[in-house]
Amino acid sequence: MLASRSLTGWILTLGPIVTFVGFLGFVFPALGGSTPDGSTEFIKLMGENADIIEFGSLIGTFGLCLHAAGIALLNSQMRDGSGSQIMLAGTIIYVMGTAGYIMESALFSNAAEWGASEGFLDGIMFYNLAQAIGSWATFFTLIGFSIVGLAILIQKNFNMILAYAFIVIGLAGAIIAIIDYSSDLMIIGYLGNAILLVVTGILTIRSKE
Amino acid sequence: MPLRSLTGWILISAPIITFVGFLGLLLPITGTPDGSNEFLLNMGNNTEIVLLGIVIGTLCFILTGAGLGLLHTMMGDGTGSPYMQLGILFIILGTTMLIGEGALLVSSSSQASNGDLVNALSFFKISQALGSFGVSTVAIGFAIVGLGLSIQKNLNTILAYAFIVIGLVGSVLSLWDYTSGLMFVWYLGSALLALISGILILRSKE
Repeated sequence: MLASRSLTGWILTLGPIVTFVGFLGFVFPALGGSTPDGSTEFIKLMGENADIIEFGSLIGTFGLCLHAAGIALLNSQMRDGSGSQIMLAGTIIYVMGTAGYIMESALFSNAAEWGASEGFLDGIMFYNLAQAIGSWATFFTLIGFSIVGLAILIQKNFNMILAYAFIVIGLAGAIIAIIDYSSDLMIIGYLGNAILLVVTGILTIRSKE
Repeated sequence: MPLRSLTGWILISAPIITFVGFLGLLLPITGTPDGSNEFLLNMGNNTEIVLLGIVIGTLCFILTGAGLGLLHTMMGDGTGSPYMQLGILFIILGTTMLIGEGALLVSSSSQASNGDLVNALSFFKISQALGSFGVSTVAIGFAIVGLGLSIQKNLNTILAYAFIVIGLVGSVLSLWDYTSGLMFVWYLGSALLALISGILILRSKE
């Protein structure tokens, strides 16, 4: 079985990959690149591809849970260090936000199910709820992410550039999520978060005990 | 109370009280949770009991998670500890959603008591969507906890494998059909496993 450090590294590396496979590999192509605007046409499109959307959402959300798991395991790695208290605070906020992500996926999948059974009003309601929860979940997750960056900056257990990138990407993504969750600019938060976690994972695997 | 006793007693009492809340108070009054008008009216006519049943059931469900969290503390820096931590994280994430499910069911009951069955049905549907994903996440956590226990071998290995099997079955079932009668396999299985773990922990030596 993997040692604690290797497990942390692998989960941090695999989490974003699993997320991208789920959302970009299944959900996005199923929606045909159409704008997620919550219109009747959009819900209908979701309904036509409900099974793929549900499967993709499930895989993607599992990946998001792995993000949180990786951050939590990283928190354990950093215990007793100078940044450990701040890391714990960041981890708690990140985990809380991730719970919101699962809620968003549950509601999003149900919107697709309602679209499949031509219950478009229910579909729109579920979609709007998913967006409302998703916006706040992303905000809190990315705020947690920037606090994790602050902890790394204090503890100096990774490269300082990585720590600053955590803070900047986290704050920028959080602000965009609250202002306009359906904006294309959200890619900054999503992609930045994913790349930084993968880099952290690789550095953790390569580091010595 | 020492950590071992606290862990044991929480794991024994929490599942029992959860069953009292959901099966003892809620189910006899509401009947099958199918979202029908009859079900919603039953909830609306008994809002206080619905509230009490859900609060008791949900609170003790949280306590079951807390008991497994304490078991993780008891495992210290053992070989299965990181996996246990991973499992606990999934259980916490899922439990958050189950709290949401409980809150929405109580709101559904309040709406039904005001005669607003349309809103009551909407709240019920949302609660089921959250509940399905919530149980699935908790069940995945249960399976990972089982993996942690099987690696560290601090409880009976058969129990650890049972955690894994029941967890995986519960996760698939809840996504496949959350209102299915088969969900009882997960509810009863997870409660029994927590109960047996609690008894084994209490009977074990320091």
